[in-house]
Amino acid sequence: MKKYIIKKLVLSVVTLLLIIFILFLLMNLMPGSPFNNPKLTPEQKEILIQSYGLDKPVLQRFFIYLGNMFKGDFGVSYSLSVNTPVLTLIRSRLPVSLLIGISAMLLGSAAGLIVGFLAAFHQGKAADIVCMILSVIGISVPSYIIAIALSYFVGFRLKWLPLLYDFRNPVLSGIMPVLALSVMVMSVIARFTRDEAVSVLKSDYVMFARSQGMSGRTILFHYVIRNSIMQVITVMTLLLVGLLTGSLVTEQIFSIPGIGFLLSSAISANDYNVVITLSFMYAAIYVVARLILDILYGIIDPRVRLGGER
Amino acid sequence: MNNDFQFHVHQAESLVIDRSFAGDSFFKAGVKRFFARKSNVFGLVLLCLLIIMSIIGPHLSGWNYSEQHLDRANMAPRIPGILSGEENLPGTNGSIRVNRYEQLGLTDTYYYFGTDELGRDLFSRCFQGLRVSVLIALAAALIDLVIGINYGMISGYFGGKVDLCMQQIIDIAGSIPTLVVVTLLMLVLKPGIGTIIFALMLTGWMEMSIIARTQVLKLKEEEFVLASRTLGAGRFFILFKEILPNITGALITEIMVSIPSAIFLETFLSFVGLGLPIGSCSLGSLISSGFDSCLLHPYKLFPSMIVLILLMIACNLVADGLREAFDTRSVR
Repeated sequence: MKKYIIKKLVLSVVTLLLIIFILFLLMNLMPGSPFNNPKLTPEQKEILIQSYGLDKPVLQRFFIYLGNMFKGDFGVSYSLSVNTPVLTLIRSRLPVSLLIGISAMLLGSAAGLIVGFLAAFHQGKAADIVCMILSVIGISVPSYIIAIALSYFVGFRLKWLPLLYDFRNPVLSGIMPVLALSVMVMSVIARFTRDEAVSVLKSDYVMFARSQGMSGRTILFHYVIRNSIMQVITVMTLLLVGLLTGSLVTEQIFSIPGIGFLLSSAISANDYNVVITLSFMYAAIYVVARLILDILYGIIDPRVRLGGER
Repeated sequence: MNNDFQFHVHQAESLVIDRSFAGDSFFKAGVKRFFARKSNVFGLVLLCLLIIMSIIGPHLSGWNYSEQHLDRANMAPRIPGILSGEENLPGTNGSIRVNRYEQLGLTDTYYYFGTDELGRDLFSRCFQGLRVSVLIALAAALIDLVIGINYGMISGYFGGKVDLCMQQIIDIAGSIPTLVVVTLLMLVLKPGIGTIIFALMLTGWMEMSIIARTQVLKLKEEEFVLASRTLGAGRFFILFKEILPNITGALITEIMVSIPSAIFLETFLSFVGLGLPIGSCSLGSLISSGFDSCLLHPYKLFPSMIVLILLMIACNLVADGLREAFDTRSVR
């Protein structure tokens, strides 16, 4: 077990280092230079380049950059808010994104689990068909289209909810973004739950339980949910990353001052340090989520850590 | 017939092939199962219609998708017999009904989906955008076919150190989120359809290679492979002539599954403004510009949105149907 965890840890660290290296290389490939003011004389440029350490070889600079990263220094913003450390920018925007992301995740998973189990128990009947049509639509319609449709019909036409996010009234103005993000989560989880639950329902032990005269509810709670929840949790973890993508545009549409909005404005303003740091953050979240998942799997299912077929 | 010990050669010959209950190959049976469900057929028909429209659509209305008529900007949709070209313009005190066609004296001019702020025909633009999406879908399928299948099959069949090394590469490459890769590529390279396809090439083949690998692992110890090997067949002959035909169903399914996400990626990037450069049009950028003016001219938003949703639904229905028909759910 220890060996397995160490192996996974080392692999994750290598992955993260590799990602930083790739990001760093890309940053060096970016067109243009930070010092292209025509008033600068060549001597002044020389001094600037030296003071930022840009005259050193790439590999050495990479290790300096890495060292700064460990100290929590990700550089400063160039254009969005000049000379503000990137970390300060991110810290002020993270809570909003997390709040909306987590609420969407909770709402979507709860709805998805209910819809999925409902469909599985009424397999082939009207409820199943309706649930599956809903989930196909939910998977097919990108979250930004749902966000647009909601903001047009509910926000603009019906005037039920505020069009834009308002930090003084986060509950009411947060409903639409959360809904827009949760549809995708709901559909994916509903479909997955249904497939898992159907395969559990078809299994011999459920048939045995039925033949013993157990009620549907007992079977649901004691057999179906227990045996299918692990797979569903896997999907949930991976969906968390999908939510980040969704938040990028949803935050733009509802003008939520969060991480996604920061990233999309940094992209359009060519604020490289911000883009790189956020990219690294997204990658790190993904890597850590996968690491936790792998370790959990190793604990729960010995077949995984003992190798063989993956 | 009266001698029990006589061989009935002529009768045996006629019994060799059972024509009324002929067994289907795995692939044929899957295709039959696919067409047995109405939703699959609906998805396939819709998909075919959309593909046809992506080819002929931009030429149907008679206006080029990039042709600008600044005097005919923001015209509401007008279709003979259905829509008159009137629209409600909201103001501070109520709204007024305006028919720009009558104001300009255009009696038999018809913009089916209206025009945008530069007077470009939205009908042509919409289907030009669909064409881009279909192109991206084709590229994604091709990437799956060329990179994903080969990578996965080789990794699965050769096993051992080759497999370990190839899987480690996937482990590392797969943990960089697609969005991050694509965003950075767009910043470094010139934005355009070529860059999007390049980004797909870097990220899009992994899912497929995992599927191909598991399928090969399942089959490579089967007797027919062993038989072929004892007959002296080479590795690549076994891989591509013996194993590949037997896993076609799963591979086609996976190709279809990967297409919606590729289409989504392109429209998403174009929506954010990272996709195609200004001037060319994609469903994503059409939706984005439609959203900017949807409070005043809502008609600009809906056609491209509906076309994109229809395309995604069609792809997902077909993918789902294939998955069920070839029963690859357990593999995923």
